[in-house]
Amino acid sequence: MRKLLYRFLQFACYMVLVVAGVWFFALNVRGIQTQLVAKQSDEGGTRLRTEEFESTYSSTSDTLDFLFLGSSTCYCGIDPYALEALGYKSFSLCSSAQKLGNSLDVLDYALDRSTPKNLVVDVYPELWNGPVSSVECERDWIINGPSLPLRRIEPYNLLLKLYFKIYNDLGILHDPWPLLKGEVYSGLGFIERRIEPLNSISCPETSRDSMPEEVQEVLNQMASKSELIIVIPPVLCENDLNVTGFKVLDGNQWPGSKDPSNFYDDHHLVATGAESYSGWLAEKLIRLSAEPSE
Amino acid sequence: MLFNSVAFFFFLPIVFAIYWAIQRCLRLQNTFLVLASYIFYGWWDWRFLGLIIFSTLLDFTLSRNMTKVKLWLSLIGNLGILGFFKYYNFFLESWIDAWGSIGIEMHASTMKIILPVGISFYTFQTLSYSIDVYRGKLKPTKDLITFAAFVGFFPQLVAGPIERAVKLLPQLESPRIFDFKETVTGLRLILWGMFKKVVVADTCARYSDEIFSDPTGYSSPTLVMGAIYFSFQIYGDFSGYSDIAIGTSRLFGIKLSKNFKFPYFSRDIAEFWRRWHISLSTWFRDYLYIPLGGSRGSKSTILRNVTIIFLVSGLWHGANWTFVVWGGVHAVLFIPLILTGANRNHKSDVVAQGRTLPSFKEICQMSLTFALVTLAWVFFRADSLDHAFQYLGGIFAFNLNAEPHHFVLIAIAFMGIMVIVDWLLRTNEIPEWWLTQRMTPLRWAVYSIAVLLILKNLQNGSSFIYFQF
Repeated sequence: MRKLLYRFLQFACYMVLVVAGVWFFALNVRGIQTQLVAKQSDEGGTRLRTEEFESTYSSTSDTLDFLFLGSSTCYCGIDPYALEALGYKSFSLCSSAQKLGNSLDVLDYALDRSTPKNLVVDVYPELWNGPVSSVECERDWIINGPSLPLRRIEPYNLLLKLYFKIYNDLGILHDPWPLLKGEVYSGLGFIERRIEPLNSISCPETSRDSMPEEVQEVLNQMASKSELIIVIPPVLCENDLNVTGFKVLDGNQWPGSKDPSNFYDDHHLVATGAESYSGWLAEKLIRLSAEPSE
Repeated sequence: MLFNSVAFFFFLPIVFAIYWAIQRCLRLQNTFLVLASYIFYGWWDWRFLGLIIFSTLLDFTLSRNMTKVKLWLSLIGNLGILGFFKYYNFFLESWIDAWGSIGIEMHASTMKIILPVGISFYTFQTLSYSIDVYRGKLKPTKDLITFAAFVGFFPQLVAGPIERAVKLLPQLESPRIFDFKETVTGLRLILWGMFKKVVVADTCARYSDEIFSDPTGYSSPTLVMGAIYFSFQIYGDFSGYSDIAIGTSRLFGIKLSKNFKFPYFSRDIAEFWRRWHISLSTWFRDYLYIPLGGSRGSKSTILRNVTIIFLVSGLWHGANWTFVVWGGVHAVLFIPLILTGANRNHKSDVVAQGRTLPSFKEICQMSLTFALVTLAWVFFRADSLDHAFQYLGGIFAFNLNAEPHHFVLIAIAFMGIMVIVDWLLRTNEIPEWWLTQRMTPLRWAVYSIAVLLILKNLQNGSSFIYFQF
């Protein structure tokens, strides 16, 4: 047994050396970084979004009327320009697979640089289930944006944090991989998806549980930091999510919510669908934000 | 608990350390093994531990002075539980659909039944014990703890290999001595299994899932690529699990049977079935095919037996007609071989023995077999028969406008690595694979990069496909 421990320790030391070697090459060659460490990419827009946010907002005296948090249904579904056009300063810090636990961390990041009057959290119903934060979102922010606190025990995210600390400290700048074909970053955190919409869809039978306690807890924490509005994004298939105790806007009330030509899958809007939905939502949000809290 | 989860990362070293710390007391060691196995299983849903305990007690009690009646009770008890949890809704819906197809409307409500993880595996394992005791091949054990360890042994509890009592029980009944070499071999197997699951299978899964989700939206070459991705996904996933199970088991001084022998190097379908999920194939051979008469008797009897075996094997995988058709397709491919006596053409375990590369003929045979197996996998992967036919229709529509972004270099590279490593391993037993002959720095560098890639691709427990069976 002692021999095993000794060999294991030897191997661990050796592995540190190998990892250091891989990192050395990765810091110098983008291809090695992509395949062996992480793919820096504008897919999802986290880098573009946070750079724009940090260049616009730098202190708590910078106010904005609406700050959006949530996942991909938000950053390609809700265009903050619809509110800007009506005279309300808005920004979307939504990002891929952003679950509520992650949103809470993104909110802290935003609160360090700004004071949002209204916090709009877009909650795609599938994201109510499972762990309250996602590893994918944490990883996206480590690789492509300012790092968020790690809520999950994920060994590789710990390694990535260290790697990107070195990367940033050394001032290295590899060109990130571009947005996907048909995607355009149009500012204020919004990504237009100019892709083929659906013709039709067949919906599976779904059943959803009620809101888990952890989710309720995170929402309460958010509500204590800013005026909270929850938006349930429009989805083509049945959605029986029931949220109480907060200001809620159900995107499924939007007249285009069951029209497949507005979507490219069950729950993601194409650019034209997002434009129409954002216009509808902007008016509802302004009205709801003026109402007293529940 | 999943092998590729953070929880298992902590669980394994703790259990390993305690297990060897108490090696002087066999009974205590086995009791601890049972406890650890129940924690491992209960991590998913502790309520279903009751089923394992029931199955254990049932077969332990009945196997004493085994009689035909007791064997029937064991069969009814075990298969009854399996049937209820796995097939109740399927048969009910099929029954209603069958009447509906001739215009008679029937109404019956299905139940929301959660399928206990690994139920098909441990049920078959306990059944084999009872049948072997009845046949006199095995003396019933008098030690409940040892028997519970046999049924619940955590490395192979949820997805096999389905181990025979004749092989596993004697190992649990005798003292185990810590062996450095065995442990290192086990660790290597775990590493290779993890690589196959986390790096190869999960990477392929991303693309196969995307392509299978909308077969009408893709051209023929992309659909072919999607099917190939799935072939590697399921092989990497399941053989990866088996390697982790066998490797983990070796850490505890217990040897499990091989479950895969490089199936994609098979030169015909019969050989494929001697190399794929060996523990299940041999289970069906010994407990169903041979009792039915096997290959003896008239051609019609053989035809019937082979068809039954493949259809039941399909149904074992899941309560869906897609699995039954998958089994049926393999039966259709297998029957000509057995009828012409060509099913034993390739008796040698090693392809291209004594040569570095296969001959042209072998390449053609392996490619054809792989193509047939891959087409059959479409039924296995599809959500419904309509979905499968839509997918196959798309392949044979010969629409050649390929979408190049689905020919993903990194996924193809990982599949290539798996094929090359398998090819190098094929001539040897696992411990002596070629890398162990190389210098330590080179070997460890390869291991380190493998660990790095595993960590990079690990999404904290993407499930194993065979858990649902």
